[in-house]
Amino acid sequence: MNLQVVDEALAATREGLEVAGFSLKLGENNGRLSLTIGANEGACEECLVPKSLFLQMVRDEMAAGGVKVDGIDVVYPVDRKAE
Amino acid sequence: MIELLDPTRELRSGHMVYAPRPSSLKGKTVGLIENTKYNSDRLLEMIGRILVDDYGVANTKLYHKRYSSVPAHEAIITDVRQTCDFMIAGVGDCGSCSSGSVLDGILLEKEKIPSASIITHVFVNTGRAMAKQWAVPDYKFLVMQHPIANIPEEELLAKARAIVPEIVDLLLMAPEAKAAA
Repeated sequence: MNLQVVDEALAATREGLEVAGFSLKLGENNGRLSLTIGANEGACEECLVPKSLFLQMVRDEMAAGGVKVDGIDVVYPVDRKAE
Repeated sequence: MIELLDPTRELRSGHMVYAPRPSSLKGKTVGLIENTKYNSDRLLEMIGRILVDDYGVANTKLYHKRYSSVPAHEAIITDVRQTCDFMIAGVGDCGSCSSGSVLDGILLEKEKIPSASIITHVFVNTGRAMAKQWAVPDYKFLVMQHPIANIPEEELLAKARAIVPEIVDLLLMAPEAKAAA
């Protein structure tokens, strides 16, 4: 998996996250793409869309960029708080 | 108890069927559904004032959503359906509020109210994803430059003036009719 190509495909998602105070970290785990959303100070946590909608956006952007991955895992800030 | 609200649903393919459009805004009532985000109410009020002054709209009604990230609650939907001829929703300048405003437009169109949803350009993909999840990937929403919060009054008014022609166009002619014309 070429994470740089994935990152370029997800430029719009990254921009949307950053204007709301979030960061996007890409990784690979057993062939699956992992997307970890980080909350910066003052981040608007209620501005995050439901994960199903987020995945829809990500899949659409990757399809438009010609990127294919076997699976995607999304981690929201609230997931890490629950750990 | 914490109530979790998820406005998404399973993806199906489909085609947007728009409400029938009147030929004019003159003498009509326009509902303005603001999504609680900063400046949304002021921007929608500016748009409403322009519609009254320049397009002959009789009056506007401003509605306040309870939560920005979900559709307008049933009392708003009912009142718009019963008392308004058109609806404008917005302004989506974050992820969840953009998807929520897009969904307001989809739901009101289904209630036969010609509608226009406004979001900012950063969240076009969010709005498109929500339309897909509601099986209307071709649903047309309107886009203005981000941001709308924390900008001067004159800049807000300029954004309102810039988008009004697009709003009028969408409220009076459904995209499918425009494409066929």
